[in-house]
Amino acid sequence: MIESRLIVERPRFRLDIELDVARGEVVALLGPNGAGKTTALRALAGLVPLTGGHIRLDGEPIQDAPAERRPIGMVFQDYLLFPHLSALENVAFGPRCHGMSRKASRLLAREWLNRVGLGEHAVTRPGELSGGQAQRVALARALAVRPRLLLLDEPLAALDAHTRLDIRARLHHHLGDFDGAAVLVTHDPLDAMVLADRLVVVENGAVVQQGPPSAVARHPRTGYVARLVGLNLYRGVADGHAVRLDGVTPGGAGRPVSQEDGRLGGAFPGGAGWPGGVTLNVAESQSGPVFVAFPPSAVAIYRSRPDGSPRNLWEATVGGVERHGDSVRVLLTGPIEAAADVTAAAVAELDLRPGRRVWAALKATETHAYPA
Amino acid sequence: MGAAHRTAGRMPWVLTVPAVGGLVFLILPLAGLLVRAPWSTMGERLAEPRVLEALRLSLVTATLATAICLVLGVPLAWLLARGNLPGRRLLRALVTVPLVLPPVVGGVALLLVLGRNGLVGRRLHEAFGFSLPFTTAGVVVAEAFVAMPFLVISVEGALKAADSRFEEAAATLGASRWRVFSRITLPLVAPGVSAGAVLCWARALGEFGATITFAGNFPGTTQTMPLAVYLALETDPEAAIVLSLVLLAVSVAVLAGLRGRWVGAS
Repeated sequence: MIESRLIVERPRFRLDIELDVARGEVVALLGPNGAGKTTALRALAGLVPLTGGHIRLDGEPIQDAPAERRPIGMVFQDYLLFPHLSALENVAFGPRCHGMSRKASRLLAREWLNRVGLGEHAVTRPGELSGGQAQRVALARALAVRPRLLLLDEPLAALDAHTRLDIRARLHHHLGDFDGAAVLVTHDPLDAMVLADRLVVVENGAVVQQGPPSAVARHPRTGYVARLVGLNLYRGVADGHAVRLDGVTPGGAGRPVSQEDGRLGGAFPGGAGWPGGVTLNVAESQSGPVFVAFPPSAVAIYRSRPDGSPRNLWEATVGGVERHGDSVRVLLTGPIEAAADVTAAAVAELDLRPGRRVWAALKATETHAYPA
Repeated sequence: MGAAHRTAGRMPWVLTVPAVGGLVFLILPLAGLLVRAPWSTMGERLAEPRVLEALRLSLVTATLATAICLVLGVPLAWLLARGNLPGRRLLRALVTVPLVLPPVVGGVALLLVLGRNGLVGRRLHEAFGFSLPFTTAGVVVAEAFVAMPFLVISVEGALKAADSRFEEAAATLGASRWRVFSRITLPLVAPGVSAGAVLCWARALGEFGATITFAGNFPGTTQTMPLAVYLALETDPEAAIVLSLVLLAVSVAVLAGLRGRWVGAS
């Protein structure tokens, strides 16, 4: 329904992505700050001119139309409700602009406010609405113009954790009812996974990975995505169940998500005990260049070399220890960088402090390889 | 609280003394006006036709001048704040020239352009048999010329401070440029427009130099309050005091009346 190639060139930044969205589909643009997600959204809206490419809506080019002529609805990050108008007048504004009578537009606005559960707040000014209520008014305002393309810029970012849960569920419901194409920009993987049918990961102005949320979550292809979904990620060459990791790792759960991507990864320090490089045993039989991913919970840590010989075993150094939800995340350096999740009790028992030498074992059954 | 008091008490005298001096300097002349006023004959003096005539003329012309400034000045301010035109800085500088120009010079300039033999004035006279100088319309033109920069600068400042993303939001909802301006931009900068209009009106009310140069000093048609004050000072100083007091009262009343609602908010 929407076919687009969005090229926006700025000094020291270039956005160049292809984005197609089907009717009824919700696509999430996911990426780190400064990746160009919001620029892409604003280009679709007509708020940023394209320097190249095209936007076709049902085959009809709209890239040269100004924002007010595009059949869009947009929810802005901080909602931008008009402060001098009531909630009802905010929602009625769009229909009025599309030539509806004052009376009809107010009726429609009231209907939309009821639909988002804010019927009793019709006369309230935006300044007196809570964050969650303002978000719902903003959504009603965007939907009231019956857009064919709905654009949402970080629609949940300004909400506190508790409200976010409720609003995310409501938004999911409304997106389900929406019959047009929807594009959602977010840097929160959970929002993207819950709300979107398809994820498009943008880094440095380009698409680096896309697919259904479950596939992206299982098979990350960049360090940024791996960190978002909490997996350790490596590149290597597979021969059957054995994968020889090559010199570069894209990074993963072992690195903090906030760290900017692109420059991630580096040469392995040639590990003792791994002569000729690092080889991991994995669940799937593959051949050729692959990614290898495993969750931090698949790594077990021992003070001394464990008995029985696990397939994947190496000696590592504790690089850091930090709280991670209910467990503790231990960052291991050594032949490979990896994150391991252990219990707080284990940390005390094993006396895991930075610099301590430990043995790390990895279950082959939880180590997945997929073509790079 | 305690800390604030202590800090205030320790205000250095190098600042306190000139501050008090400045306050006295600003208030004393106004107090003098009140002290020297001929209170016993005030009632009959106020009822004099020439006082009422001058007052009516001043109020009417200042209001008309403000209206003209609003109609022309708000779009001009928008152009300066939002317009994407080359030489914007030069334009802004040109707009502010009447602000620093001695009003008499402004009057002379208006005369040269709009006078009966002026560049534009001659055409006007030939076409319509109408000439601006020495008419009430001329008073309005002179006042508007001098007062417009106050409005433009005030509104431009408000436009620049306003979040232009609201205008983007309106555009995504399908609002035309004019609708965005009239329904979103203008209401958002309303406090700035009001403050500018009050400044503009006050400036127009007190206008002297450009008015007397361009429109002359004819009782009933061009003799506004400031002109009447100046004339009275030579013949009847007490009358000048009364006229001044009226002007002062009107200015303060307008300022006080609008302060709570608009000016204070900006």
